Amino acid sequence: MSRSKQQHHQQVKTPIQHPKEQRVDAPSQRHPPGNLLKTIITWYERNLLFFKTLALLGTAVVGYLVWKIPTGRWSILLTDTLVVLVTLAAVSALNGAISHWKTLLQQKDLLRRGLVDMGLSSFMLGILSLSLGILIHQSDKDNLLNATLAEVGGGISVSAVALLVLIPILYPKGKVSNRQEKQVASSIQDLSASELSGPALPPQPPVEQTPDNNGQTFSHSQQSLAKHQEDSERMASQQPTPPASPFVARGFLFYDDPLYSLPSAKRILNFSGGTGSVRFFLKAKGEEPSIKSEDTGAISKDGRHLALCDGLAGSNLSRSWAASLAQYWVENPLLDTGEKRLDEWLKQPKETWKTWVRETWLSTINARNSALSEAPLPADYADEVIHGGSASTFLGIELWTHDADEGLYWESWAIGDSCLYAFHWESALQQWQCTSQFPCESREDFTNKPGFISSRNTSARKPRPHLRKSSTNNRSYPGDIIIMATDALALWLCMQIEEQRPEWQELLSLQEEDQFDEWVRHQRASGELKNDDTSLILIALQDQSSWIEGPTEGKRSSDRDVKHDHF
Amino acid sequence: MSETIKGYSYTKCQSATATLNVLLNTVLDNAGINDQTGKRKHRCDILVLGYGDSVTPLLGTVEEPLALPDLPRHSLGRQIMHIARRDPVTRLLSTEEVTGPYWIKEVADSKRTETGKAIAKAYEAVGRWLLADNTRKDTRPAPVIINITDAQDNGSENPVQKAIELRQLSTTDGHALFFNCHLGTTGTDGLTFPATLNQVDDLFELALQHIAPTLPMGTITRSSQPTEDEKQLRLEQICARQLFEMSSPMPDIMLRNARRTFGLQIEAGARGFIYNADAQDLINFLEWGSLQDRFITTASREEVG
Repeated sequence: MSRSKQQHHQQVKTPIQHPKEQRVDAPSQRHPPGNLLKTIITWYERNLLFFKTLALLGTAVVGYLVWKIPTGRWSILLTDTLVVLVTLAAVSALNGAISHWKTLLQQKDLLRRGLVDMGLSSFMLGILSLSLGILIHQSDKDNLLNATLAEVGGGISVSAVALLVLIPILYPKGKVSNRQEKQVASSIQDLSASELSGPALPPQPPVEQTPDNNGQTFSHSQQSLAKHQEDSERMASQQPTPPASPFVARGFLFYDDPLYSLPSAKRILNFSGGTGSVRFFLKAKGEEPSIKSEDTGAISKDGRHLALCDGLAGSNLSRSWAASLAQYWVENPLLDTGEKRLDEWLKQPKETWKTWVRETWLSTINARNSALSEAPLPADYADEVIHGGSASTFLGIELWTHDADEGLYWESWAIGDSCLYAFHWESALQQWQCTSQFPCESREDFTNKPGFISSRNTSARKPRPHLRKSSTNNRSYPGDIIIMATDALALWLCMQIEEQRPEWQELLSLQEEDQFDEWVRHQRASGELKNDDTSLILIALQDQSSWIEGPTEGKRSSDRDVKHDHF
Repeated sequence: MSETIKGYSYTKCQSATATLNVLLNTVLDNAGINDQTGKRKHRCDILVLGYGDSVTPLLGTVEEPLALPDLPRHSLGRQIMHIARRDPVTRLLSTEEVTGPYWIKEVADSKRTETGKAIAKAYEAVGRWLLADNTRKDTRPAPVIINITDAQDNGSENPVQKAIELRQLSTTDGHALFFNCHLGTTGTDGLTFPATLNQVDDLFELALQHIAPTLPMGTITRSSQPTEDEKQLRLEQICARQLFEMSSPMPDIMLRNARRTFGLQIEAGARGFIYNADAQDLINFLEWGSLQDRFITTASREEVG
């Protein structure tokens, strides 16, 4: 295909500047005014310890002067100054105490930091007591209680200073110093070799032209490659066996984090026309554990709202963002498709996710890094992650009944390619009919760029996402099926429906997670199902002659995983 | 690569380096953060080789692909990048100045161009990479190798033979894909994703007609002895044919992406080869070849810090 110069220049071009021709803009231009306040705050936070120390020293100096200059105009001025500084010290002490207890209660930070806060707080309280004692002593020199107060305050201050001095000795940087860090230290030993440093590759000998087994020329020495493979295996086999612990058994961080929780494997629905079951299955990409999946789901406490989300792989921490959306929607469902309503509704899940990134994720990763003797992530890294943003598809369904009617009404909302399929058993035809397909209606609707909900604030200049709503007042009857699935399984189901194939009915008999895992493995191996995170919510409404529970009666999940919802 | 790129005031080497650095930044940005490690997700391994008289790794010091999560700590410093992006929805351009890490510095002081040796090194690295982990062959997409050159190959190895060997490497996803981008200073028009060798030859026949003396009635004649310009064109034709034969045919999904990125009608069976490219073509080529979502349209850099 020849490309003429005229055609060539039709493309939009912006000349590349030569490095020497470029001009570095002034700092004020590179940093918009809005960032100045942020810069000052960041600088203040980073130097907080310095400011605290400066305030304490100032208080001590002024207190000493008050003591030494008992009368005169300077005495009054210094006394007033001391009162101001003591008040500031009291506020700071209170702030330190709150921060300290918050740290201890959340178990999210190092003990070292907690002790430092405690030491500083104690020192401030000691100075406060000392100063009050001195102040009152000025007016009533005969009062023994004030002198005692000053002495006790001085004693606390000295003890606090001693504690602050001892902390770096007792807890040097990098030492595993609390339960969380010990857990992280154990867990990281179980992380896959690909995440940690693998065995180093040996230097390769000069290559030779040798034929391989198929007679093809293989210019790299097969022997050296094989030797390298053996070396790699040998070195891998020499990796120390991780110690057994519950955390190691789980293997990954955040396994007990609420944002990583998944719905119960099975719940029973009771509605006016009968009962139904809700089953949730998830199989991560490849043979990864479910905690590494970027799919997640949530079911409300009353069982009326269910959501399925698929975090986008190219975005930051998408599992937690997807969970923030799903978990918030099922308890506070947005039943409106307006862009502004979505913006308003998103404020809370965005705040939940940002808070989690700043307070939970960053400290946990830093505890991991500390245990691995890796450099900690800077405090503003959380802001970088948040600024980079996260994204997820969304699919939600609301179920309800009318007293006079049998059956279950439902409506669904979606962004992206997580899909819902409703099936009805046609007795006359003796086959399943797909009565609803939402939001993707054909295989062409599945692209590699699905719609998504972003954690970033959407620019007014760009098209904003909006929820799509299914047709209203959909109704399912006893014996019907509603399936919610993320893109891999949704595409597979879509093709099954288009080609009128029956294999999808195998899903109806799945009761245990192991059965689902095996089914997914089989479909992936056959090339029918894309090797991607695969999750499924299956709502089965049953009547007296239902096939739903019949063929697999007695194979239910344990009672621990079964919940009953009545509405 | 030390020659000035056509239409611009900087060299092909500078253009390629700036674009590669921006591309690496883009690959990092598109990887997302791994919640378990705090690093970027391990979505690919990258190896960058530079070649002239010899072949040298440009990312780190070893000739092994670097895991994407480890890329940040191998950067040489930070740079200011001027990047124009085309909004995928509105198609409007917006330019922004961003600061980010860079990994590659331009080096163009060699007398030879050992293309064959460079391809052989790539072959060895990809081969080792496949064998280093038994699961890679079954789970990873086919490796993609992109060669950016000025096509003045005068090395000691046969690059076509080496390229054919390289393309034999495979995962269950398919054979390794080898694409070639020729940065041009020549007088011919460009050639984007040709499907046949005839298309390559036609390009040069057309160029030869332009430099040949023309008789009044419009017929073309040639002297018995070729002129210097004709000799030069014939040499360039040999290079272009060589690059065409080295290049892999494009898979369907890449074909669709190429049509979208370049805005051209590209026929099925087209090779991953672009001849006599300018800076814009190079950026499009890398964007397309690495299947990035973002549309970077220009890139330049200067060091900071």
